[in-house]
Formats: sequence, C-alpha cells, structure tokens
Amino acid sequence: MRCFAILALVLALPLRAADPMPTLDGDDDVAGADDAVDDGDDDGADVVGAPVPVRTISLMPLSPSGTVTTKQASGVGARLREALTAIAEEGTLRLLPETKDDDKVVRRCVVDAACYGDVGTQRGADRLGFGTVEVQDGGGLKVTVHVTNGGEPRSAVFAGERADDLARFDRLARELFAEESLQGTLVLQGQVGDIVRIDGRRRGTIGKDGVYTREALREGRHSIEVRRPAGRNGTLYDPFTRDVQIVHREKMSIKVTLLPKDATATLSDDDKNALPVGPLVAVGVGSAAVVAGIVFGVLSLTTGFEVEERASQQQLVFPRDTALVQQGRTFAVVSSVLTGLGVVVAGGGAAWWALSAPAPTEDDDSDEAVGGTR
Amino acid sequence: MKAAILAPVVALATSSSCLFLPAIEDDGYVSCARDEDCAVGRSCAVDVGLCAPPPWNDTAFQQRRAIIVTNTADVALPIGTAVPVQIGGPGGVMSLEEVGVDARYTDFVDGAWRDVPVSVDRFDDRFTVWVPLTRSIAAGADDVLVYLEQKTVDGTPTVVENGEQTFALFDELDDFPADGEGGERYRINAPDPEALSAGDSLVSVGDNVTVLWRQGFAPPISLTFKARVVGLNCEEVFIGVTGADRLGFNPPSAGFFIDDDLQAYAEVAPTATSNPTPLSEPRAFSESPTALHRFTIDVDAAVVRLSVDGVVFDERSDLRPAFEEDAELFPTVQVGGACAIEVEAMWITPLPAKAPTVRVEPLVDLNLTY
Repeated sequence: MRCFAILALVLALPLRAADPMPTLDGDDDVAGADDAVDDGDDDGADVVGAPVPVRTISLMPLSPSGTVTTKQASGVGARLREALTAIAEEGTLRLLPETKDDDKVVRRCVVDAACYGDVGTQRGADRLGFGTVEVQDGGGLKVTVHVTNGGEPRSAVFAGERADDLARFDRLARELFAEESLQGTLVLQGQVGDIVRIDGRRRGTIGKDGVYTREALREGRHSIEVRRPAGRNGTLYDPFTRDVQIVHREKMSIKVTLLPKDATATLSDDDKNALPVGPLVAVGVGSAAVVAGIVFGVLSLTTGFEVEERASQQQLVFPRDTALVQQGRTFAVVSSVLTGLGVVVAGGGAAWWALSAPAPTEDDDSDEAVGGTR
Repeated sequence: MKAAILAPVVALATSSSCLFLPAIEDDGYVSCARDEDCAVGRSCAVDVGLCAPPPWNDTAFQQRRAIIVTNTADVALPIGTAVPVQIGGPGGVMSLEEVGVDARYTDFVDGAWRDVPVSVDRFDDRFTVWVPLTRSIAAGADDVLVYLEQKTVDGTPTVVENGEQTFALFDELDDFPADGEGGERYRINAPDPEALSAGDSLVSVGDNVTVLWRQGFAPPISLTFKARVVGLNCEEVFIGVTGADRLGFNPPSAGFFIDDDLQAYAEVAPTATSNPTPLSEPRAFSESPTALHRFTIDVDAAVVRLSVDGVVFDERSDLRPAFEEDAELFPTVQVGGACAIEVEAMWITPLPAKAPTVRVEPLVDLNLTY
C-alpha cells in the first residue's frame, strides 16, 4: 500500500503539470465562428487603414538656384503641381490654384522664409510648399521643397523622364503634404481562424481561404502577431510575431505557420519540421525509466531467486535474511514504480507527439514563407 | 483522466511486483502479522511480515527435522508429559537410517535454543524416544514436540538422556535398597529376603514379594514396566497399579495377572469399592513370554488399556464406574509362585488414553553457504 501511495503521489505531479485540459490565454480571443477577415475596430488615430486627413495645400513657384534657369525651375514646379493635382483627385488633399501674386510672395519671402507661414495662413492653406531647384551632381535637377506646418524639407531629382519623374514627384508630394496616403498592403497566409494583430490591436482572423488581407496599411514598420486558440485536443501554439516594413503601393505577403507551444523552444525557423522537444524528452525519460525499471527488476529477480532457493531449503530465517528479503522487495517496488512511470511517461510523450503534430499548410506559393518564433 | 492513467500504472506496478517478488508461499513463508498466523514450527518475523522457521541452532549440526505432535485428546496435554516417538520398526515415524547416532533433541523456546533431555528405550529393531513436552498443547492442537539435530563432523553421540527429567517418575532401579527396606521410595514386603535381589540395574522380585512405589499418580497415567518373567510356574503375579500407599492388594487397581504357564489376563478395579474383574480369559501375552518386555498400563477415567511391547493386550473403554479423577495409583509388582519378575526400569507419565500422534517434517539440510 505504501508503494501505491508513493506511486500515486509521484504520478500526481507530472499529471498536474501536464494537465491537458484546454485553457484560454487571457490575451487570446477564442476563434469566432465568423470568417471575417477584418474586425473593423480601427479608429482615426490608428496608422492601420486610418482615413487620410484632407489638407489644403498651396504650392509656391520654385526658385532657381545656381545655373538653373527660371524656366527650368518653372517646369519642375509644374511637374510637382501635376503630382499634387493627381493626389488631389484621390480626395486626399485640396490644392489651391496658382495666383499672380505667387512670384511676389516668393521674392518677398526669399529674405525670411518665415513669411511663408503668414502667406499660408492668409490663403487658408494647411501647408504651403516652397523650394529651390538646382543642378544635381552627376546630371539632372534636384528639387528641394520646404513645407510650412510640416516636417523637414525633402528633395527629389528631376531627370527628365516623365514616368520616373512622376513616380518620384508623387512620392515627394505625398511625403510633403499627405504622408498618410503612403500605404501598402499586407497579406497573411495561415490557418483559418488564426487571430491577427497589427501593432498590438486585433485586426481580424484568417479567412476561409486561408488568407488575411489588410489594404491601405500605412507605409512604415509594423508589428504583426498571429495567434491560434488552443485546439480541441488541448494543444497550445506559440504566437507568430514579426516586424514588417510596408512600402507604398507594394504588397507584403507572409506565410504564417504556428508550432505547438514548447516545441519551438529551441527551434529556429529552419527547424520547423524537426521533432518537437517536449514529447521527445518525455519519451526519452520514460524509456530510460523503463530501462532502469528492468535493471532493478533483474536485480530483484536475482535476489528473489536466492530467497526462493533458501525458502525451498527451509533455510530462509530471520533476522539473518531480513536484509536480503527487504532488498529484494525494495528492488521490486523500485522496478515497478520505474517501469510503470516509464511506460506512462513514454506513452504520454508519444501521445503528445501524435496529438500535437502541426496541421498541414494550405499552400506554399506566398511571397515569403515564415516559421513560427517565440 | 488521471484515474485512467493511474489504473494501468497501479496494475503494472502490482503485476510487476508479483513478478519480481519471490514465490515462497508454497514453502510456508506466508504473510503474517503475529505468530498465530503461522503454521506449526514457524513464528512471525514482524520485520518482514513472513512466517519462518527458527534460525539454525548450531552449524555443527548440518541437519535438522521438526517433530510435530498432535493432541488428539479432548483435554490439554500438560507441560512435562512424555510423548513417545518411535523410530524404526513398523509404525515408526522415521526409519533407523534416518536418525544418526549423533542425533540430539532441541527446542526453540522464547527465542532461544535449548537441549531437551529425553529418554531412549532401545529395542532390538527400533527405539522409542520419550520426549517431555516443553509447552502445553491444547486439545486438538498440534505443535512442535522437538527438533532433531544431527550430522556432525565427528559423528559422536550428543543426545541428552535423562529419564528423571523426562517422566513424572522414572526408575532404573540402580539404587534399589539391597537390605529390603523400602524407605520413602518403596514399600517392600519380602518375608524371604532371598526372594528379592537387586543389582546390575535390575530388581528381581521373587515368590511372595511385593514392591510398591510410594509415589501415587492420578489418572490419566501411562505406566510401563520394563521387565522379564523368569520361570514358568507363576501364581497370581501382578504387574500394575494399586490404590493405596500400603502393602496388600488395594483397589482401585489395574494390571496384568500372570498365572500358570505364563497365562495372563488383565484385571481392573476402578474404585476402592470395586471388585477386581478380569477383562478377558487368561492367554499368552507373548510368543516369548520370558523375554524382556514392556508392560504398559494406561488408565484414564473410563478407559484402561494394557499393552505388551506396544501391542494392546486388553482394553476397556467404558468402565462403569470409571477411575476417579482424584484416585491415587501406585506402581506395584507382586509375585507369587515359583517365578520371579526382573524389573529393569519403570516409568510413568500423564499420557491420556487417547495418546497424541506424532509426525515429522521434511529433513532440512544446512547445505547452503551464506
């Protein structure tokens, strides 16, 4: 009976520690029955899909610098205005028209750029742009534009090739006057129901097609996290986390694979198909216990044979043979406990291994395949 | 869930324990909590919880064997009752070859070994070892009578023989008074002194001589005279017990009467007022009546049994009235006629008429080197 009590006590500990009953991480949400790609809980202060504020913009004629002629500067300014006009057509900003006083303003403010602020205020512009055009070392014209109520001045090169110049001036205009309109797209491929968080906020779940798409994600660095609720078999998964760089008008695709919890403790991204450590340790420890149990069993049998021989000869007497009998019993109990525990632990490890195997991924044609990390 | 896991573990642990633990129950090593849980000859070793025989007494004796006695009577056998163990011959519990000349008899009492003095009655083809009980045995119970130890290196006799310590009364007649004065031990009537002679560890009781041992015993008794009839013309020779510490034939009585041509019969008077009554017609008590014989008179309440050399000569088990519990019975030899009775020894022990039985356990050999 003492043996069983000890056995039960010993067993209770790992069982309690490895209690497979599903639990919910307090930070996790249970996978909903909905297949909504986006939960739609964005707000205006967010950089994720946030509405772009419509600013009123006024652009002053660009001033020539160095060997740049007024005509050249005027032409470059026309390109920049053209880019702003295109952006305004998106509804992102409102561009004030040129006025005949613009050149005067430029001449008047060349001495003190602070007067542009007053001009912008008088015209009701949220931002007013002004700048210079100079010759770029190595060819082309370099445009440097300052913005009132904005940030640092920004520059772009005017090379004379219309398509490229339009792209560069589009970016320059957005950076200067509508930085919120610099947006790209994030595409996550994963298991249906996985929960997607961007910059710490829940954004939705992977849809039925195994894809989560977030368009109009502001350009820049974002933290991505994908979690999977505990499975019906109690398996827990480590969340996928990754910082991504969103680029304007580009699509970032990431394939998300979540690995069972603890299995990723020592795994790198390249080891995602390696055997999980926990079950292996359990199987190893259990097997070792069984082997140790067999060893003690052999010792017990050896002692037992001697005891039986003495008993058959009626030579088993006490207290002379007390130590011999007790040693045999001790070996037997130790063997039993080790063997029993070993079988349970090894069997549990094998079951754990079998039950915690990751589900197969839906496809592998994403732009970027990423394994789970802790 | 846990129960589902624990169940096979417990089952495995139990089954493997059963696998690994030695199987010694069939050899008598069963679990116990106290001595009463154990079979005869074993005590409970509480530190291991097993019934086990006592430890080896002396490794100079390489063999031992437990001799078990079973009290078949309906009364307890008191300590000191001498129990006969026949060795050799028909009905012997062991053959002569099984008992070495160096055999001795010991017992394990209160955790210690001690020699048990015995009395050995040697026949031509067998011998009987009378062993006094070292513990009382309840009615119907059995227990170790004694351990026989033997097989020493030198093989010399080691048995402790002591008739006085074995029997309630034992007399080899070594100190029989030659002057015919019985003293405190005997009452002697010998009108012709030459009819009574003593010497060479025997007493010759001749014509018209009576010898009475003055120590009386209440039933049950088993009295044996080791004696020889000398001559053929006996007249009312009596060998048995009488009922008073005085000369003369005083009932109650029981014994052999031997007449002419050594024809014998049993005669019994259960009470002081009973008339002595023959149990049967006179007849030969032996094919060799003048040889040395053991004349045994067993008296136990309503039972009287007379035997010669262990063979019942006559018996009555329904005496009415019976011998009284407080009756005193005195060993007596009385001779009449031209014959004599040579008595070599006499012993008496309180064995009931339903004598205990004896069996032996297997021989244990100390042939293991531990």
